[in-house]
Amino acid sequence: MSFAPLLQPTKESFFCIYGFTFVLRTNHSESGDAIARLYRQFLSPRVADIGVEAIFRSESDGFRWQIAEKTASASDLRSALWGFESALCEAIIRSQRRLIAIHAAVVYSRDSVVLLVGPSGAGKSTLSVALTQRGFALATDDVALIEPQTLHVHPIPRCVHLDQQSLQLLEAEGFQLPEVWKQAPFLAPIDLGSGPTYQCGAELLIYIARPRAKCPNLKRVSQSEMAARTLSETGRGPLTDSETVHVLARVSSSAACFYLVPGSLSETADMVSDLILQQPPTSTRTEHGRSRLTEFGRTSI
Amino acid sequence: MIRRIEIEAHGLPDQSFLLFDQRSRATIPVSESGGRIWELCDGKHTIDQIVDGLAVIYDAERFQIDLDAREFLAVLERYGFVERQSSFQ
Repeated sequence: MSFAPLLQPTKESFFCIYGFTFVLRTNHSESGDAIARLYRQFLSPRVADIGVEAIFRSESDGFRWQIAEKTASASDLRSALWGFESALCEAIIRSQRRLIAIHAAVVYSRDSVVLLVGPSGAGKSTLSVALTQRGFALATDDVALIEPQTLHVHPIPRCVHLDQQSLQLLEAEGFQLPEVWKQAPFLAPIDLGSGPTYQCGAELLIYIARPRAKCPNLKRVSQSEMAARTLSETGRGPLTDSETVHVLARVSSSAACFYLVPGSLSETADMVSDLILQQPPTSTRTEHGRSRLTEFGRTSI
Repeated sequence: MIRRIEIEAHGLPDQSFLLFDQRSRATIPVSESGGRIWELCDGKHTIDQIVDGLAVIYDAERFQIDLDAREFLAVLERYGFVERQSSFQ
């Protein structure tokens, strides 16, 4: 598939996300707005050295998109926009030279960063949104990058992945889709009231197991068990396996670690909410772009 | 029993250990007592000597410690984290 120069008026936006720079060009304003909302804190002034060109185009028979050499098309906006965003996320992860990607949702409370680690389908997104209903802020529902030296968590914002079943569960407990959903079926964390992301280490790790049970169960697990489970949700990235394990051991070392078997959404979210609020307050949070000294447990080989 | 040299052991602040096999990418999280057994798998201690060492530390019947230790070592051996030394065992 080739892309001829766009004939219709286009909008250009520039982004720099953890070192991955791209320019978004689109003739579909709703989609451009959706991506801009998603990456709003990574908006960048126009720079000469743009790594990748990302094009999203509305055409007479559907939508087409291109990111670097990768192209795809879809007849409906939701499929096209979700596929485009997914490819952008993959490109951000692939571009990393230092950071480790973990399959985890990131939730902020007043004083702590919580990682909800778990496989696809475990319920990270649904639980994360339910937690926003309880006053917590969602940074991402899917992928977090870990800085190996500082152990800072860098969430990659993603469109919130809610299927029909998730929506029904959430609506049953009072959740209402924001107005922006009518413009484009795409929810960014900001659409759920989340503010800017922060850079600091995770103080609470929760592994979400499958399948669900009738009643939720939350139990404390050892830091080594959490490190092993987190490794199973960690992609092969820029570090060696050995280095990755070392980093994950340090991440677990500096956190309280729990294993969650979800039950009903309402009970599970209440249980996790209580757990987060019970964590001892810290003053470790700094805003994006600033760093802090992270203390971590000793790890020996 | 002797530890395979490719296995890394990460000690964590809660006293648990994470064993990692660089070849297979397999991990085994072990408790503090499992970590003690792991450290004694140096090729110099027999299983009986390992159990003797644990019996001094833990308040449990020796036969129970023996049972648990052998079970734990069998798991490590099954996953290839330790190897049996014929001269000792």
